[in-house]
Amino acid sequence: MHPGLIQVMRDQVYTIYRAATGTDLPESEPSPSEAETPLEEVTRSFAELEAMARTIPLVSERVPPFSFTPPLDALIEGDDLVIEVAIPGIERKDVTVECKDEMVIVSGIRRHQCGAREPTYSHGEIPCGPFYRSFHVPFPIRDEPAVELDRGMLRVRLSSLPAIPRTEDQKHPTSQEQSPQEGRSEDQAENQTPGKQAGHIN
Amino acid sequence: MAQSAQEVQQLNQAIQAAMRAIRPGAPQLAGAWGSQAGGGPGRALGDGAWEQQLIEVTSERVRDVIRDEVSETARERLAEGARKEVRETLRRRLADDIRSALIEGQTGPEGFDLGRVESRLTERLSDALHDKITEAIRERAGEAIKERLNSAIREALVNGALGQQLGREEGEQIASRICESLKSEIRNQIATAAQRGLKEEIRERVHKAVREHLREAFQSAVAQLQTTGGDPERLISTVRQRLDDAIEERVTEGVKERLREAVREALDEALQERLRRAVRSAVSERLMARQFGAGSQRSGFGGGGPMGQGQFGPTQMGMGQMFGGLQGAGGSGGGLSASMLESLRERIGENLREGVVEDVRENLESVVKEKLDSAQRERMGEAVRAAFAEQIALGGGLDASQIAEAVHDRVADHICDSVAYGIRERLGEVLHDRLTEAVRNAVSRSSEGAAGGPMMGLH
Repeated sequence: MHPGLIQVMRDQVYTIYRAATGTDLPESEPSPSEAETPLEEVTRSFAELEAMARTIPLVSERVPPFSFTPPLDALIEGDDLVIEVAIPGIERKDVTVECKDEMVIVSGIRRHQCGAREPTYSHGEIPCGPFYRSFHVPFPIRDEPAVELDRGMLRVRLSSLPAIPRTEDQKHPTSQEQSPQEGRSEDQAENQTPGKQAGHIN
Repeated sequence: MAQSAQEVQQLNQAIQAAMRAIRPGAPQLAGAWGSQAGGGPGRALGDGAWEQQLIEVTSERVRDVIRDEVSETARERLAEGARKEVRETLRRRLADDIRSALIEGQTGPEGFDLGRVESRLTERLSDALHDKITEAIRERAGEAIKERLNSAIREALVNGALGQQLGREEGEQIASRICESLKSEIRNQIATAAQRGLKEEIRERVHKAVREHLREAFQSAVAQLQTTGGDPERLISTVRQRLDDAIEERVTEGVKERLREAVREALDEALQERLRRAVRSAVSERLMARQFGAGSQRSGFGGGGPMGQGQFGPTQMGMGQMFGGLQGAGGSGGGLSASMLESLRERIGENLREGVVEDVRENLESVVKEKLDSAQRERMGEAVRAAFAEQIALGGGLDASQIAEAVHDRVADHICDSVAYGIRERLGEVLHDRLTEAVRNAVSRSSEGAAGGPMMGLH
């Protein structure tokens, strides 16, 4: 589980409560006598709450959707394949990029823009919470990709793109069989993913 | 990294508190709604855009699913019922009809005329078959559509926007309401379309089968009679055997073909306006139940705008989608005030007065006419013939009053029973439909009134 997920879930619960009642959820300390509820059960309760909230349009429209699949573009730039993932309002530390064989996996969490307290959502449409997106590239990924985040756009640059025939309007890689070229992009120096330790959020 | 146990427990407490808060009838909501930030009253749900959109989307989806999935199943079942009825009718009356047609074939100016037998037999049989088949279709149409209609509507709703918005449980409840409301309309439309479309088809098919087989059957039966001897009943039996299968096959085939069109027409007709009304009533009923269940949730509520298009989009489902399945949060509870009950009572009465009288009159008129026609066709000729035969057998000339009495004795009970049964059946249908609709309309209108505006978006 992503370390920030509990916090994001709690923010979502606060948002739901506020959307339903117009007031903030009172803080309370867990009673020491109470038996601990396992995380798995808490997660299930959260899912139930989320679903219940969606059944009430008046609440639902004030609570942003929880969990999402971000849209992406894949662009060929010279010898590189650049995957652009649109994740607005996200911080770099909350995104993980993982490469496995021929798969690029982008996951993380998008935190609520208004945390547990004010301001109140009047209309919540931009999704928050965990996100996950995988993308298949038609060649094995050998090197660590260069990752940068700029104005809500996450760019994952894969160098060593195999020599593939391209047309003017070609945007997406189509070749499945060619081997990657040697060499790496200069852009790779900064913003690199800190390793393959990432786990999936959902 | 392991999550702090305290964080998890705090989250759990928050979840429980939020669940209590959004459950219908939650006490926290009574005053809390008023303090909601946002615009004034009427803006929240005021323009009813989302209900309207929901009703539109749902109606379309249900219409498509019913067209695709119900019509073929209904046709199959009705055709099967029609086949049984054809077989049964032929078994019961083909021999008699052949006998009568043969007798009538001898009464022409030029003696025995097989062409005359053909046309008399066609006439008698096709009328009888048409009556029986349409009656069977009327009786079976409800059953034929019921099962598939229910599951198709349920499927359409639960997997559609409505299910996503209101949850599976409520989707199913709404589905059964819609099904209930549409069933009798579709059944009536199928019966009407069948009655309209089958008469000519049956006549044509019977005529074709009789024309193709009667001559040969008759000649073969006569030849058999001449060689082996025997009584004329044997001749009738031989002709009957030759005609039976041919007529059954032809008529069943024709009915099956014609039913395809009839069922489709009936569905289109029934789904035009009725579907939208049914969806609107069902949705408003459930939302109403919710609002009553939530007690005073709505009072003073404001803020927010109508749902955007994206509300139906997949990403909006969030965890509901992620965890696969929604929990219904509906259910009624809470009380209706005395004035609301009084208002409902008045509205229901008003709706009933408006619609029932006219509907009952129209339906009774048609059912009495139908039953009288049917009795006349089935029984009168036989009764008159029998009465005459009785008079002749008794000797002493024909006495009109005795003949009338004999005819009366033979048909009166049957007509009374048949009309009474028809009225009882039709009245039940009409009252059920009308009463349900009257209550729904009244409840729906009351909800608008109670909200001080078009809260439910049901214009």
